[in-house]
Amino acid sequence: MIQLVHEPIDTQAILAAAAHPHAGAVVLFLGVTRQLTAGRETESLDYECYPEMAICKLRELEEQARAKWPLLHCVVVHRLGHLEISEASIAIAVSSPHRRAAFEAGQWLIDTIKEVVPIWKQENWQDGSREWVHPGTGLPKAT
Amino acid sequence: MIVWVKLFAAARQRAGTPATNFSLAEGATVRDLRAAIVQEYPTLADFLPHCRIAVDRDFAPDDHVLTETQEVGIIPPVSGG
Repeated sequence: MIQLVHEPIDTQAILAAAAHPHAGAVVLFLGVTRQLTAGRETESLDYECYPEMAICKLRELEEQARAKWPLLHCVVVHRLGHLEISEASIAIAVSSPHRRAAFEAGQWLIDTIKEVVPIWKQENWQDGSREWVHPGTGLPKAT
Repeated sequence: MIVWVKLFAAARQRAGTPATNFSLAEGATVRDLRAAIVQEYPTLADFLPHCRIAVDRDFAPDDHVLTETQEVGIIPPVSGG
């Protein structure tokens, strides 16, 4: 199950979607809004995306994860819009007969999502400045 | 031919528009489109080399040949999750 949502993520619903009688493991990963980054204080975050392509890419990644590991369910929900500190921006739940596959698939999914899915995060810093996050590029800051 | 381009996040902000179009020669490639973008939007000059170009919702190399009906997007370095 792949979803882009604008409201808070319902983790119980995600765990219910990942439940399966053959599951011996369900791994739930939440990416949450962090207050401190390299000593700077974040006030909030805003996420935007290219929805049609993001859905295509997430479906591709689900397919690839299912090809790599024996998954029973694969649930990815990404939240968009304005998020406060400690709120979840992404939830990934994978279930499998044994725990190793669930842990590996969950980690691979979040790592790969961060490389190829067209979703962007803007930091709203406590000092009032705003900045698009472009990890690892050393890019000039957006104004 | 006319190629429509969607812009997102920092690219949209720097260009000041979420979508625009370019008149390109038949057979133009993603590389040609990049040149046209920088010519029209100098504020993207230092940023565009860091962006990928998506054609029909998949990343396309610079030698990819464009056609009028394709959906093209400028994809800044992603930061979801």
